[in-house]
Amino acid sequence: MKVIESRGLGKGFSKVVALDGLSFGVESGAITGLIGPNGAGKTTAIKIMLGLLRPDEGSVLVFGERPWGNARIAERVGAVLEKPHFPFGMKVEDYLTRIARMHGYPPSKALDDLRRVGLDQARDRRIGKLSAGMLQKFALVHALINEPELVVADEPTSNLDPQVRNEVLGLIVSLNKERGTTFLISSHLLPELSRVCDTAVIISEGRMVGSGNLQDLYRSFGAEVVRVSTDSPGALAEAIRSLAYVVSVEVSGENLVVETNREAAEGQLYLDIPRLAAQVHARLYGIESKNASLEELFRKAVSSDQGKGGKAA
Amino acid sequence: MSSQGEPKKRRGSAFTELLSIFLHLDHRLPVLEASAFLFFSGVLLFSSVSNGGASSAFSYMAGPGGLSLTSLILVVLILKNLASGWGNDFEKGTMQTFLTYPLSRGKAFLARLVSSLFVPLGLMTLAQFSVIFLIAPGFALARFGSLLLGFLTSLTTPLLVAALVVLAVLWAKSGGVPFALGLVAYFMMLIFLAFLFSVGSSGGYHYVVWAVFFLNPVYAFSSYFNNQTGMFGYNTPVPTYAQAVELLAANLLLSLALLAVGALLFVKRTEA
Repeated sequence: MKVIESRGLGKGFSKVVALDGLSFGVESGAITGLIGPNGAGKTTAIKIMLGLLRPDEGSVLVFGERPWGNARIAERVGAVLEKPHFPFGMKVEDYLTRIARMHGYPPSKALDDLRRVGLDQARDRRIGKLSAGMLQKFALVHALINEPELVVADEPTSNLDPQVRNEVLGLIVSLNKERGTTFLISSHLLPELSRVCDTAVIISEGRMVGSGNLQDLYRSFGAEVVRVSTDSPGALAEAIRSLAYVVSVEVSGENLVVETNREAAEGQLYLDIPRLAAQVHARLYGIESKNASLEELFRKAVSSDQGKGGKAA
Repeated sequence: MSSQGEPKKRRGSAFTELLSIFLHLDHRLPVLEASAFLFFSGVLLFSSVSNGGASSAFSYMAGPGGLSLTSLILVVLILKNLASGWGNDFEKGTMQTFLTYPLSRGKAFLARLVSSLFVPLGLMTLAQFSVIFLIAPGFALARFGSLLLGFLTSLTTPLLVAALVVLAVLWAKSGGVPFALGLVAYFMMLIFLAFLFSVGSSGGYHYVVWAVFFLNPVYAFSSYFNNQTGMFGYNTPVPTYAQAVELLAANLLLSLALLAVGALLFVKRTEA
């Protein structure tokens, strides 16, 4: 079941087109990554899903309803905005207590939730006095106080040190497993998303250029990457580049990192490389498949979109 | 998020809780409100207003040309709330957080308005009338109608300025400039209307005088109380009591209409 369904979403600001027919869906119970570079339209898409912006074109349904001006949706959705802004003069527990009551929970829930993320020590501190990491955790607790079915988080780990980043990601994974909370997480920090996401939606210049299960995406974009060790990297690299299905060959010391396109039959590379090595009299030390990173996947998805006539430069 | 002992969920009121947040932010240090109470006490103790009639009761509340203590304190208090409250909400992005809560934009606007505008009005009313009833209860009871009329009239200019500043804050999505403009507009309005009134009176431009009566009903009531002879010796039109009350109601309705426009503008300005 899809909790978010976006169809042909368009939004512009003055002369800038932020979203240009964005269509995608988010499955219930999944952790979905919304991937794209800065300016791809991630924040705009998220704000539309949260009912903060009204789309110019297309539609988005959250739990089957339009989110704009819809208070019912807000009861079921938790929001972590890109830059968390709260009344900084208010105390942590005081503010969270009011938000808990707003959703019909007793005030004690605020402290319980603060305790869970280790913020109970800061309960009497003013929100404005929290460190960046604490503020991000507070933003997450704030989004989860109403035990939402869906959490939409815009760059929830940006500007955090690795330790806090791990804590935040760990919290997301544990909530997803414990309560089946659906997460849509936007980020341009791809390595961290690949650690927690089941599925991904790749957007570029306001359009979706790929979506689905991460493994399927790796497969569909043919991001087959092979590491080759040899005593003649230069000559072998030159020979491999002549193969039609090879996209790039990077030389790093005695290693070559070979990336192929989607048409490549997985086994073909393992036949061609030894043949070429023999032709150029290069000794092979090893060939190993290297799983493409989410970053490589993203790059491939965007370049594939451009190949289809996408407007990305 | 609680893993053990799930707390029981009841129906919450997003409006009430958001209002309590705004009240906390706007009235955490009620220095101006407390000062107002002390000022009113001092003014009443050291004046002889409590020996006067209906006219002096009205003048005590409304002040000369609408420049009363109530009016001045209200303007500062309301503009402070609008600038540091609404302005900051937009400038710092807190408004976006508030809009993720389960309530409509109209209710979010109303909660903000109640905290920054109607609560100061309520506090002023409480301060003003409690002082009168404490210090001169006999006078307060005998002249309650005139006092109430004077008080309502003293609200007209601050309310009009506040409504215009609400529109300015929503349009600019910031508080600093609208705050300064609001203060300037308040004093300019008082000065300009005084000037307009004297020009209208001396030149016999009755429509100008009626316009001033509408924009600042203090002039309408002053003309009425000054015994229908015309102010400053000129042949100014003199409203009846009913007309003066109608002008007061129309003025208050104008401010409310501008605030209604503000609600629509709020929805529009939080769209993008």
